[in-house]
Amino acid sequence: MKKQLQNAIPYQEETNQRLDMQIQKAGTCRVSNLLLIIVMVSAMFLFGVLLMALPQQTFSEQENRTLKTFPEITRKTPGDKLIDGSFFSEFTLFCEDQFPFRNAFVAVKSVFELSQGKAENNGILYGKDGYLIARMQNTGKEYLHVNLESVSSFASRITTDGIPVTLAVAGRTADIMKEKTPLFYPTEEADAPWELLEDELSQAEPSFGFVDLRPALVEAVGQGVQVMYRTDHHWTTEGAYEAYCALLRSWNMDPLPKEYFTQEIVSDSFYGTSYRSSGFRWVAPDTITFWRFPGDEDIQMFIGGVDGAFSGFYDRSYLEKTDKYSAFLSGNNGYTQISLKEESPREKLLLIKDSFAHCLVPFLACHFDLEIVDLRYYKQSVAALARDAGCSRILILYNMASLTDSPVLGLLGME
Amino acid sequence: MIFSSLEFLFVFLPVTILLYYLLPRPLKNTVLLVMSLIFYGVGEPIYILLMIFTIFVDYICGYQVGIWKESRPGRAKAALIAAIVLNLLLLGFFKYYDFIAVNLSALPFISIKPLSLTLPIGISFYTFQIMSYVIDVYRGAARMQKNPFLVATYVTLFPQLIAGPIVRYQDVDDQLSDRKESVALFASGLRTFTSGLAKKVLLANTAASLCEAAATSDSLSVFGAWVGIVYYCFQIYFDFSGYSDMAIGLGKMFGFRFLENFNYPYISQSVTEFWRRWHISLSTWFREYVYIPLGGNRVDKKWKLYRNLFIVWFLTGMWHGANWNFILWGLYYFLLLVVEKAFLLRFLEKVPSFFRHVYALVFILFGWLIFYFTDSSQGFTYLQTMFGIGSSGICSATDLYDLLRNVPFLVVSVVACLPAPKALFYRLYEKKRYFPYLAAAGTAVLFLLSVSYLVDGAYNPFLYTRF
Repeated sequence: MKKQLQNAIPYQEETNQRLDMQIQKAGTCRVSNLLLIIVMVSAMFLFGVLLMALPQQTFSEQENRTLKTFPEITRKTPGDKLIDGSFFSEFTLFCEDQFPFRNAFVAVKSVFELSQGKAENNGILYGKDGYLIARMQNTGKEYLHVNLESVSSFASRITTDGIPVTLAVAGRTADIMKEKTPLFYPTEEADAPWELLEDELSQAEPSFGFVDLRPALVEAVGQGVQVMYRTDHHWTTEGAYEAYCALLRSWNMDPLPKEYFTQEIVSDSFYGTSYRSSGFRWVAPDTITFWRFPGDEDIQMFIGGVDGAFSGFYDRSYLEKTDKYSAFLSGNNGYTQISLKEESPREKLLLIKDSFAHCLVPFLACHFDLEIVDLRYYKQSVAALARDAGCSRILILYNMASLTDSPVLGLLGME
Repeated sequence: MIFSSLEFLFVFLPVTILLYYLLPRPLKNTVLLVMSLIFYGVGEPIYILLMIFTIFVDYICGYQVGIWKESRPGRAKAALIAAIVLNLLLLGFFKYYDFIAVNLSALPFISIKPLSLTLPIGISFYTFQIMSYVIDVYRGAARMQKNPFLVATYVTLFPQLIAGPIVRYQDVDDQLSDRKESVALFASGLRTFTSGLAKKVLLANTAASLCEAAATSDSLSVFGAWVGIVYYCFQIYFDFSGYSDMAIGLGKMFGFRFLENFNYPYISQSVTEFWRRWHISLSTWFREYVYIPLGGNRVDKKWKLYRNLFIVWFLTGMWHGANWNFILWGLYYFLLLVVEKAFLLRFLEKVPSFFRHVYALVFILFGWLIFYFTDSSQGFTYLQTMFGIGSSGICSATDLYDLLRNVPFLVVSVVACLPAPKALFYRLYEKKRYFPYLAAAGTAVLFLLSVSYLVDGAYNPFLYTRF
C-alpha cells in the first residue's frame, strides 16, 4: 500500500505487517488459499443456485406453516413493490423459507448448542429419555394475577345463579416430568407460578373450587404410566384420564375405571410442538392413543362455524398431517357442542378451556353433555351461554403455561 | 441489506464476486458502484436518492474546493462551508428532527409535531465519510477527484456503507484507482469476513438473547442483573467489531485494505486507552475534523482544552443516536477522560495492572448500561436492581444454572476479546506448514455454523396449537 495512515496507531502497523506477511507467503500457501477460495465461493454459488433453481416448497411440515415463494415483481395495487421496498422484504423471506436443506441446518445448530453443554435449544430442554421440555423464561406473575382475578369475579357472579365453578390447572411437562430434566436443572424454576397461585387463593375465600391436576399425574408417573408426550407440550390420553379421575373425585363422583375403555393406537409418528421448535431432529416420535368406549359413536360433535356435525370426538384427517394432536376435537375452535345423538336428559357442563382439555373431553362426555368455549376465539358472553344452555356446572381447565403467557381469561366476565 | 443474511451471502455476494472478476479492470469500479447502489437501494428505495443527492452536491463542492484552493481560497472556503452545512443539515433533519421537536415542545408556547421519519440507514456513516472527502481536499490531505463515479464508489462502497468503519478519503484515494487483488488477499479476506460473521451470528446474537432475557425478566435478581449487563458488553463488542471485520474482509476480497476499527478494547487499562481501541475510525474522525481544528490540546488556555473535549464528547454521544441517554453516555466519558487526564492516569500508573483492568472494565460496563437503555427510567430501575433495590433476591438456582450452562460460551467470548489468539494464529501461520490448511478448514466450518444459525434464526414454527 503506497500511502500508510499518517498518524498510524501501532496496531495498524502490526496489522499491515501481518497482512504483508500473508501476501509474501502467498507462494507457499497458494494451495491452501485456493482451496479455501474455491470451497467457500462455490458453496456461495451452489446454495444460491439451488435456492433459485430447486422447485419451491409451499408448506413446511416441520413448522406447520406455509412457506414464502418467490415474490411477484409488480402488483396492481397502488405503489410499485420495488419502490416501497416490499419486494426486497419478501425476497428476504423467500430466501429464508426456500433455503436448501433448511431442516439439516436447523439440526446442525441444535447439535452445536448441545455440544456446548447447554442441554437446551430455542427454549426447549433436552431431557432424559427423549423428553423435550419447554422451559419458561419468566414467572408470568402479571398475567396469572389478571387471569385469577377474572375467574374470581366471574365465579362470584355465576354462583349466585347456583352454578358451581371449578378451576382446574394442569401441569406443564416441566412440572410433571421433573425427573427427566437435564442434569443440574433447577426444578424449582417451574414451581414459581404455582406458589403464586396458592398465595392468591389463600388470601380470600375463593368463589370457585380449585383442583391442582399435578399430583394425580405425578403419582401415575411413579407407576410407570406415560402421562406427558415427549415431543409435545400436551398430556397424553393416559395423562388426561388421570386428570379426569382427579376431577370427578373432586366433584364427589365416581370416575369410570380404566377397563371400561379400549385403547386404540392411531399414530406412532407424532412429532409435536416441542420437537418442532427445538431443532432436535433425531428424537423418537410419540404415540397417540384414542380411548374408545361403547357408545362413543352415538355422540355428536357440533362445531360453531362448521356445517354438519361430527360423529364422535375425532377428526382423523389430522392424523395424516403434522399437527396430529388436532385430531382431538378437530383443533382449536371457538365453540363446540357435544351431545348424544338421541336426546337424553343429562347434566350439562360448560367447559372453558385451552387445547389440553381436548383429549379429556371424551371422558367427560361419558357423564355430561358439553358446551365448550375457547376464549381466544369465542367473543360472546360466557355467562349468558351458561344460563341459556342450562349448564349445571362450569369447569375452567387450562394448563399453567396458558395462564402465565397471556391474559387469556380476561374476557371471561363479559356480559 | 445486511451481511449476516442469507440473501447477502448466497445471492448478492456471489453475483458481485462473479461480475467483479469476470469484467476487465476499467469496469471493476463500475461493478462495485452498481452493486453498492443495489445493496443500498433494495432496502432503502427512496433514501437512495438522498444519498445520491448528497454525493452529487459534495462532489461539486469538492471540485470547487479543488480548483479554487490555490487561486481563490475564499471561494474554496465557501464551497467547503456549503458542503459541511448541507451535510449536517440533512443528517440533522433526518436523524434529529423528532428529537429536537419533542424536546423543544417541552418548552411553553412551542409545539412542534414530530414527523416520525424512518432513519435512512447508514446516513451517519456516509455523511461523515463524504464530509471527510471535501475537508481533506480543502486541507490538502487528499487530492481532488475529478471523476464523480470514483467519488460515488468511495462513498457507496458496500462493505462499509451501512456500519463503517468510517473510511477517510485519503486512506482509499490511491486504492480506488490502483489496487491489486490477489489470491492471498482474497483468502485473507474470506478468513476475516468469516471471523466477523461468526462473531456476529454465533457470539453477539447469543449474548443478545441472554441480555434481553435479563432486561425483560419479571423476576430479576442482583446476580442476574449484573450478568445481564455483562452479556450486553459482549453483545455490543462482537456485533460491532464483527461487522467491522466483515467490512474489512469484504474489502480485501476486492483488493482494498481498510484500517482496523477495533483493537481489543476490553483489555484497556484506562478509559483513555479504551477510546483508542474502540470504534477507532469514529474517534479518529472527531479528532481530525473537530478536536484538532478547535485547537486540540495545544490551546493556550486550560478551559479551552476542556471545552474542546466537551464538544467532541457531546457530539460523539449524539452521533450514536437521537436520544438523551446517548448524550449522557458521551458526557459520562467526557467526565472520566477529564478526570483521568487531570490526575487519575498518573495515580493509576502506581497501581498494579490488574486493578487498572478492573477499574476500566467497571466503568466501561456502566457506560454500556447507560447506552443500552434509551428509556433512562428503565435504565435507572435496572441499575437499582443491580444493587438490590427492587430485585428478586440476590441469586437464584436458575441464575446459577443459566450461568453454568453458558460457561463454554462465556469462556469463548472472553478469549475472543483477547489479542493472544490472533497473535498465535499468525505465528502458526507463518511457521507451520500444515497450519494454513487447518485455518482454511476452520474457516469453512465457522462459515457453515454461522449459516446454520442464520437459517435457524429464520425458522419459525407456527405454534398455533400451543394452547
